[in-house]
Amino acid sequence: MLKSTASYTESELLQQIAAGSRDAFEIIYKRSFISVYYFAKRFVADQQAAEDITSETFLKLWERFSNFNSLHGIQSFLFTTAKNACINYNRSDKRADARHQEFTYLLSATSDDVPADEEITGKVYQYIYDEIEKLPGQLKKVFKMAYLQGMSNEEIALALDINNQSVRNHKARALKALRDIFSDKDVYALFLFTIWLNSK
Amino acid sequence: MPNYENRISDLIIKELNGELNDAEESELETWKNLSEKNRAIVEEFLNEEKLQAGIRDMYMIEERIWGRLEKAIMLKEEPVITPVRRMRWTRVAAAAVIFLLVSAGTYFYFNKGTLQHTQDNNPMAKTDVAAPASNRAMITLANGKQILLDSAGNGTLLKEGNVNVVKLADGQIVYTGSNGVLQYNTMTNPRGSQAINLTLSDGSKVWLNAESSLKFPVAFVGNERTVEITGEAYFEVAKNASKKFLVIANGVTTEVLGTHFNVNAYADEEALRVTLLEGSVKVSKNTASKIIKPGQQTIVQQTQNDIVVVTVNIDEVMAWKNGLFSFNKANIQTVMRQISRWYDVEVSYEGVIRNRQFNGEMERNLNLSQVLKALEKSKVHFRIEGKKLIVMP
Repeated sequence: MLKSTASYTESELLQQIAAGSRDAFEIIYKRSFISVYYFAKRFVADQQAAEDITSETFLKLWERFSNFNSLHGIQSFLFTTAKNACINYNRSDKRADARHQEFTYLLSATSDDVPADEEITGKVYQYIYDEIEKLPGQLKKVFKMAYLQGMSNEEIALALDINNQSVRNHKARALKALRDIFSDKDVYALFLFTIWLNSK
Repeated sequence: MPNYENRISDLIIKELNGELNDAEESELETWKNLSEKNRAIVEEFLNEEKLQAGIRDMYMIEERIWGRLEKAIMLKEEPVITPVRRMRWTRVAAAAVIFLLVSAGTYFYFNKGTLQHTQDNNPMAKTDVAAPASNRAMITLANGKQILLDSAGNGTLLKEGNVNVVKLADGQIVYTGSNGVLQYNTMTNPRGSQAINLTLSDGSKVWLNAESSLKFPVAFVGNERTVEITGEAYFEVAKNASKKFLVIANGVTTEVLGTHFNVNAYADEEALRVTLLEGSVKVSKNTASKIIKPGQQTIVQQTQNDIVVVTVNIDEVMAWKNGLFSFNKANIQTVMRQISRWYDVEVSYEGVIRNRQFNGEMERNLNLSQVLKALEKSKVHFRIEGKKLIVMP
């Protein structure tokens, strides 16, 4: 599992980047991998390919990481690299359907003509991901184990070496913290968490 | 409409937070009804089951992308000991980490006893170079006169007025006394020489590595204690609250009150590093300065004024003083620079050497061929020709 995002100021982060720090690289990765992935999905049909392109793009970033002196420069690099990788992929993928052949042509012109729906989805997921990742330590662990891995209270208690009541308390606190993020007034979010709570 | 995706994603996020006003709500509704595709996008977040599934998928995608990235980085850097690298990047139980560390250490550590009995028939080494057996440092006095320390006998080396310089049985050089005059001596330790231990007239101790020099006052008159170094030195500064101790190297000043720290200022390294073991130091270059705590290191690039602070492994930094080589994710050039200073060999590269990583510890008192044999496990090859070391793919 990746390290949690430490709270670096922008200039501290840039200093760490100049030093080629792996921690800084992980932070940059966490902040942008979703946007890059959904960006790639705009241009390649295959989800697997979009994942591969995302990995490759970050690898290329790592290889020259300490050369960057601005966050904006890193963002530009990520999207330019991903775009080129998408073009190459579509060119070499002989089974690419007509829709994506067309996209390849448009890519070389201007990307504004290509619908950006996937990017909407990407931006919202990046937001949700960031909010979950901001949950403090134990709360985050309990939330992820219960919600993402579908572990029961007993299993979580065993894994984290805390007792069952503690797990329930953690879940309630995680719920409250997330409720503060997705405010009380939101019917859907409440509904969502009620279902989750009841199922445990 | 260009850039509408930012607008719509903002609206959806506001919807999730329950912050949409009426105007925004109808804007989102309108967009949603424009097409099936749009409806599907909004539904993915506002339908509780779809959102839950979507978040799960996102984390699985994240794991896959990260997994591929991690593997690709590991393959590119081709570490000697894979377990050490895997430990850093992935989830490993604490017990397993300790076990791997121990086995990695023993893999690389050469037992001095067994090696001396091994017949090393390496056909590639035409000759061999022994590790320096002693130190070959010298002192240059204020008047330019030089004292060669390895040929000098033990006891008093120099006596001028109240100033006394003695050489102890273990090779330590100790300065005592003062004539009230500010005079500089320079201790120079050449390549292919062991570290030399010097005690200054205030009781501060300095260990000088090979290919290094220290310019210092014979006695500390005045209200500052200033020394200059080239190369690498480790300091244990005697406490004196009224007299700051300053180490100057290549435009970088390290200021201390009384403490233990290491300065690595070799001109052929790309950055100057000051590592603090105990106490507190302030490192400055021009207008930039940083105060660091024990366990921290400042990095100053040769051509820059920024001072970056990182945490380091003290054992790695101080390995040279403890008679060891210690490499952690070091590239071939870094390793060769240390080898070249210690064995006093000239390094050249033949052919295209791929990026390798070197990890591990070795005793410095080994012969060069023995050290190279260990390094060859990283798929790099060597040839010794007299005082030349050739690195080959």
